[in-house]
Amino acid sequence: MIPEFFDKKTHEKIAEELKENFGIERIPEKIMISGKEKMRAFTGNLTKEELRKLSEITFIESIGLYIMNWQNDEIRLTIDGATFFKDQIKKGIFEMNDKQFEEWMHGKDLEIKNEERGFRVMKYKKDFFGMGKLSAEKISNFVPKSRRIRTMEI
Amino acid sequence: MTKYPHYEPKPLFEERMIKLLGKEEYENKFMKIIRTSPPKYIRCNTLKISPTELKKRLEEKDWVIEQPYKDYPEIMIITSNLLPGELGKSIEHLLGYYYVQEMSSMLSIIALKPKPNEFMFDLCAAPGSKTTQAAAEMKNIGTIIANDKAIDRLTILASNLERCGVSNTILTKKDGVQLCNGLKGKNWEKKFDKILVDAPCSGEGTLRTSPKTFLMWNLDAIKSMSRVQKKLVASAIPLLKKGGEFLYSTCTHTPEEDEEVVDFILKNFPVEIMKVELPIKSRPGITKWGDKEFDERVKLAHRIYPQDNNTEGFFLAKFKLLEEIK
Repeated sequence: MIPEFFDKKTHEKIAEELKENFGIERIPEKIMISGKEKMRAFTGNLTKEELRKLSEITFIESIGLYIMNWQNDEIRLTIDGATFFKDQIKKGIFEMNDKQFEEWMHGKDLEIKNEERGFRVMKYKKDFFGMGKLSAEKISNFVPKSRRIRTMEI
Repeated sequence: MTKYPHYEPKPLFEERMIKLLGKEEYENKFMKIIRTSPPKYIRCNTLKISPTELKKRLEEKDWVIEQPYKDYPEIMIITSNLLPGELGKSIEHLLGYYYVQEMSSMLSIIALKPKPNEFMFDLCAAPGSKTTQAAAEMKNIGTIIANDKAIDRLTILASNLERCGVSNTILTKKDGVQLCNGLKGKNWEKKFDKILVDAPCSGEGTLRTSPKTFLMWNLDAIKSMSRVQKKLVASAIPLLKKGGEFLYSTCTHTPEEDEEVVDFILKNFPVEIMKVELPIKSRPGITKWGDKEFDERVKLAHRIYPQDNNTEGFFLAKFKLLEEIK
């Protein structure tokens, strides 16, 4: 990948979205675009220029941590993104009970009637497990296959 | 303890190990422990959770946890019986709160001691146990370039970095020697504080978990590995800044891949070999193997045998660069 960072204005917009929707106050200085919608946070101290030079020397597979998706002006935190910000997330949370959590970690949508719409951070006890999208009849599951579990004990 | 399929060592393997250990120790200690599985070690990922909190959570699942090293509370052993695969299926593992990592594999980073704000190069990084350990030591501050040349191994490395919440790492896919050559070119000036070459090797140290290594073991492969290892270290060391530190490690006992490489480094580069304190018992590097005599300073390298600490086998040596290499 050739590192492509968001400009100041877009970075501010992302920060505003995260603050408004989830109460997140601090975001990393270096957030970059990876693919069409993936956003990665880099907390390393190489400058943008050094990263560009490195990409000329070798193929860069990835930089930093994949923390969120940005689709149609909506932000969706990944499991690792939600954990990355876990000390800052104060709102936009859906708290799962034991049964819902088990279904969620099996990759199932939660059959729940909702009046509200949009994304929620899925929480079980103290931990966050990515985000779900609220629609009239369900919460859509985005847990990638590699992070689901087939049998588990709570 | 789990019993693994029984593979017989080849006669030349036996002959060489007897040369290193003596017949009595080889037969009654080394071979005895090789037939058993090592303890279930995990490393708490301090980027995400404290050792105290993790221990509490795991004990709530009725896992019995030991923290055998006072100065390294993040190192834990699960002493209770678990179901097959249970260690890798727990919620805590899924969330990256711990990494399943054998004790001897933790020694490279314990010895190298990466710190926040440093610039580190992990040349043969997959599957990522040492990279994630280094990122935790650096608190995700400073930069790691983690490289591996095999795409399948790189995929596992990437997935482990994500799971462990590592955000200060740049992942590259290139042949190690070629990447080092690129970083020596006129387009790159920044030198590294720390470099780890945890080299591909013949794997004698992993016999407890991979007994099939007995089948694959052969002297030609060892000699070929030794040549690759020398190329890797010779390419990497010039990328250090003056005073920068270099850690060479393998998971094998063969002197061709261990002391011979250390001797090669001492004879060809302006380095000093450093004293290293490890939390487990180790033995000094050997200075003679067959008709080869090595630099006396090779004794400062560390041989870790499975029978000494109930771990896997390992080897490491740490160096400091005394003057920048132009």
